[in-house]
Amino acid sequence: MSNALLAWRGAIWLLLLGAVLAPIAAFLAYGFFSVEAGQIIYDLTIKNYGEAIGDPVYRSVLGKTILIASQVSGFCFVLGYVVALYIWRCGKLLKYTLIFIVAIPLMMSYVIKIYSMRGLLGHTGFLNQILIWLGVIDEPLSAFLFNLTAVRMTLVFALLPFCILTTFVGLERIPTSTIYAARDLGASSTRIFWKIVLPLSLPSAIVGVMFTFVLSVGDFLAPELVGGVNGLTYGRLIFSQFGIAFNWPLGAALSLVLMLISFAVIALAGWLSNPRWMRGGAV
Amino acid sequence: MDLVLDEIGKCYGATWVLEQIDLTIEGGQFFSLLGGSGSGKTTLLKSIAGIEKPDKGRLLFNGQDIVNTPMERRPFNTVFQGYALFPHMSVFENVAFGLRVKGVDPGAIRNTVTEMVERVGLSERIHAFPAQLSGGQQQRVAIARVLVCEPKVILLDEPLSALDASLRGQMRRFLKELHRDLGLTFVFVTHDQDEAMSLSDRICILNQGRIEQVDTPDTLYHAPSTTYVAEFIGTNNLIPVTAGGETEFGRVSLEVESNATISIRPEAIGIGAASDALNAAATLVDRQFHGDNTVMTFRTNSGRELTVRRPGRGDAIEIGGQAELSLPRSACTLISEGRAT
Repeated sequence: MSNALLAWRGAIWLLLLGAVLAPIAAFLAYGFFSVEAGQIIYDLTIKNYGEAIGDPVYRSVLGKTILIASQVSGFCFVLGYVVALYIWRCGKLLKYTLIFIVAIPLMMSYVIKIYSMRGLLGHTGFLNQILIWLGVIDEPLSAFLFNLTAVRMTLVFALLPFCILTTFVGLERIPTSTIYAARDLGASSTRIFWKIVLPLSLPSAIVGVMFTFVLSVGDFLAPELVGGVNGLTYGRLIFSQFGIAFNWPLGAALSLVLMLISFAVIALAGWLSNPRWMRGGAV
Repeated sequence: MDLVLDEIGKCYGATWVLEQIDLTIEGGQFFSLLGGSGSGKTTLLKSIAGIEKPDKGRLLFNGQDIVNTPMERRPFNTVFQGYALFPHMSVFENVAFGLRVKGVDPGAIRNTVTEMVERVGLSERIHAFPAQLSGGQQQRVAIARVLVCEPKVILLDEPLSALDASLRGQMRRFLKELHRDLGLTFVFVTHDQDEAMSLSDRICILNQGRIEQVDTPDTLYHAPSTTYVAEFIGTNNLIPVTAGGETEFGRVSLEVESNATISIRPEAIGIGAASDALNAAATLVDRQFHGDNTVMTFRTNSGRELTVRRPGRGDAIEIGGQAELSLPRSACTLISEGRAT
C-alpha cells in the first residue's frame, strides 16, 4: 500500500473516531456521573443506569413510546406500501411526478411540518372546518390537538415519505421480465402480487419501517409541540433531563437505553431485509 | 398445431416496428427468428407470447385467432432473456410455480418437479436459490420451469446470449436434444446467425421490421433471395450483373431478366484459371489464417474485392502477388432483390 493511501485511510478513521464516535462516547460517559445541587459530580456511579432501567415511571413511558412508535411504523408500512404500489403502477410521467411530490416534504424543516399539522388539527384548523362544513359537528373541537393521537398523526405525516420512497425503490427493482414470467406461467394478478411482488419488495419496505420506528421512538419535537400534557414520550423525557431538570447523567443513561433499542431494531430489520435468497454463495 | 402469423403489424408512435408479417410456423419445428438489433425479432416474439399486442393482423394457433387471448391463457411458455427466474424461490419452487398456479395437488407437483429437475441435470441443486447457480444452471431452471407446464410451443428469447462461449456450445446441444425428444415447436429468437444456422429447421430473417426470407439454413446459405440475406448469413461475394447475364468477369449461365446481383461463396472461388468459370486477374491484399483454413482478400483488376477461403495454409501467394481467380458458373447464385454496387 502506498503512503498516500495509508495517510488517507488514517485520516478517514480519525474522522470517524473523532467526529462521530468520540462525542457519543463522551456523552455516554456522563451516564456514570451524578448531579448534586446543579453541579455535576465526576465520581463514577451506575445509579443512573439503575434508575433508567428500574424506575417504573420511566419504564412505563418507554413502553408507551415503543407502542406509539410501533403503531406509527405499522401504519406507515401499510399506507406507505399501498401508496408506493399505486405510484409504481402509474405510467412513467405520472409515476415520477408523484414520487417528486412525495419527496417534497423531505426538503422541508421538521418543525415546519409539525406546525403545519398544528394548523390542520387546531381549534380553527382545517379538520374542524371540514367537519363543521359537513355538519358532523356544530362547534370546533379541541380534541384533535395536544394528545397522543396528534403525536401519532404528526409522526405518520412526517415519516410516511420514507416508507413510500424505500418501498417504491424496492418495487422498481423488480425486473419486468420476472412479472411477465409469472404471468406467462399462468398466474393471475392477485397471485403475482402475493407470490412475486410482495416478497420481492418486502425487504425494502422493512428498511423504510425501520427508519420510521427509529426516528419516531426517539422523537421529542412532535410530542413537545402537539402532544400537550399527556404527550410525555421517552424522547421528551430525555430532552427534559438536559433542559428543565438539568440532569445530564440521567439523560445520558436514558439515551443509552433508547440507543440500544434502536440498535436492536436496526439489527432485526437488517436480518429481515436480507433473506437467504439475496445472499447467493454456496447453499 | 401450426402457428400462423397473418399480416401482423406493430407500431410505436408513428414507426412500424413490424410490418406485414406473414409467417407459418409448423408444429414441431425448431424455428428461429434471426435479425440484428432493431429488426423486430423480439417484438415479434413478444407478440406471439402475448406480452405485446399487435396493432394489426391475426395470430392463429390451430386455426383459432388468439390475438386477444391474454398471455396467461396461451398454450405457449417463454424462456426469457436473462432467464427471469424468481430470485426468492428455490429451484424446486421456481419449477413448481406453473403447476401450483394450475392447482395440481402437492404430491403430483413433487413428483413432476423432481423428475423435471433431474431431466435438466440439476437434482443436486434443487434447494438452491437462483443467485447460487451459474448462468448455465439458471438457464436449465428456466427451461424446466417452462417444460412442466407442457406448452404446445416454447418461445426462447436469446437464451444463450448471456452464456460464455464454451457453455453456449453445451447448451446448443442440450436444446437440440430437448427439441428432438419432446417434438414440441420451438420459436427461438437470436441475433447470432451461427446459432440459428446450427439449431434450426427453418429460419426467418428479419430486417427493419420486415421479413427478408424464410427458409431452411441450407437454402438461406446457398440460395439467398435478397442481398441482405446473402451478406447477413456467412461471408459472401456480391457482383452486379446486367440483364442478359453479363458481369465484369464475363457472362454467367443464369437467366437474368433485369439488372441484378449474383453471389458466390468464398469457398467456391478457386485460385488458378479454370474452364466453365468466370476468370479474374487479382492482387492479394490481405490474408487471415484460421488454422483449418485461410481467408484471403483479393482486389481484381476491375477494382472489386473478393473474399476467398481455401483449406490449409494458403501461403503460396505473397501479399501484393498476382493470381488468377476462377468463379465457377455453377456456384453463382442470382439474387433478384436488391443490387450490389
